[in-house]
Amino acid sequence: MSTMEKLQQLVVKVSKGRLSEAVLTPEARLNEDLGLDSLAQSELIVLVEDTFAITVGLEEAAKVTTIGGILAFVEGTVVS
Amino acid sequence: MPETGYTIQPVDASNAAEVATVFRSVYGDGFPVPYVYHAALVMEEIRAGRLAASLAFDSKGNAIGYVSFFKCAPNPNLWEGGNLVVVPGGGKDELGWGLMQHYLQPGNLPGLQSDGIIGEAVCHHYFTQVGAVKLGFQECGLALDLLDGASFSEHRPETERVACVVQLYEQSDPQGPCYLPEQYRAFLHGIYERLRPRILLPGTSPLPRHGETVATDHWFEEAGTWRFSVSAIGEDWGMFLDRILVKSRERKAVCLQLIVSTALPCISEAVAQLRQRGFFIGGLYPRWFGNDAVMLQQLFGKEPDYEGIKLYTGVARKMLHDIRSDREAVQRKGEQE
Repeated sequence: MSTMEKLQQLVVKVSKGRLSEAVLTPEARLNEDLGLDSLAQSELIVLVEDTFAITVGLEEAAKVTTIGGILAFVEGTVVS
Repeated sequence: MPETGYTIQPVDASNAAEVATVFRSVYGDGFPVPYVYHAALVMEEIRAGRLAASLAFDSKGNAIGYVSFFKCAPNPNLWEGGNLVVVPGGGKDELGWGLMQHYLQPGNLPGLQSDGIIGEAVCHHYFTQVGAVKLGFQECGLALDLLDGASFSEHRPETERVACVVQLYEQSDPQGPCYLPEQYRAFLHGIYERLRPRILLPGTSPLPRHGETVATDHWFEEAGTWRFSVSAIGEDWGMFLDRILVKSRERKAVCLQLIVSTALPCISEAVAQLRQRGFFIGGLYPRWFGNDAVMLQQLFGKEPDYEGIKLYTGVARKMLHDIRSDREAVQRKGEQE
């Protein structure tokens, strides 16, 4: 399973099934397009950290606002 | 930090009326801290040194968030962080964490000295826990069933009661020895490893044969939670406990907390009496009296919904495991007697 597919699964889980993987494009904005509020986004941080064994700082969390942004952060962090 | 698109300003007489606007946007008129709806009362709290509060404004000058620190403990230099509100749709996503971070910056708390900031992060979501841990708070305890789930009009929990993780951001070096109860020595040492260094001693002196127990209490009626802060123990300790247990049942308390000072060398025997009466460990309340305190808790309602408690860190999950084990051990002991 690719990193993007894993990430999409996490977002679907956080949305409690409200979102389908089809709408989770790299450009999709977490808040404005996907309707993930700050509580949902904090849950996504927890899942991303657990799944990819990385740590997300608050500054990174604030900067990353799209699915593609998370993907780039995860791939960059895992590789580095 | 990235460009935020908001500014954070201290609450003063010119903007205090906006506090009510922020709270109404989320809670209507139902937030259980009445002063937030009255500018004059907000200012009274601030002038009395009991409250430090700030508002966030967007670029158009609209109030979009609020955060406050207030006095909660016998120690006047310990603040509690809380009542953080972000207006729905009004702020950028990072505003909540930006508000949390605000008072951790030097100079943003009134007064010359702060021993630290204590927080009780709700466990029906991760937001506060994640933010606090990443800002440097240390997890010190877990208060089970502390709040009534029905009291949350926004982000309503799936559980009937809500647990809270006790977290501390320590800002000064502690003074004086801490006497530890032998029953929880290992548990507490695990917490102390993450705090500033202290002198830790075994609290194995006998209970006093004279004097009276000294405690202050706070009844949180909406939550059904009764909290006692015990600063001195006298010959009446056992009778004191029996009395508050009777009164707790009379007033239908759901959660009873005893926060006992670690300045008391007799703390092991004091804890033994608490355990005999069904209390189990809740954790450390650092700097509660200036010196630290150990919190023991008792629940009078249903069995806690352990599976519904969301905990961010492994530290907190281990704490829950230990606290649950202690509760069950105390219950087993009670059944055998």
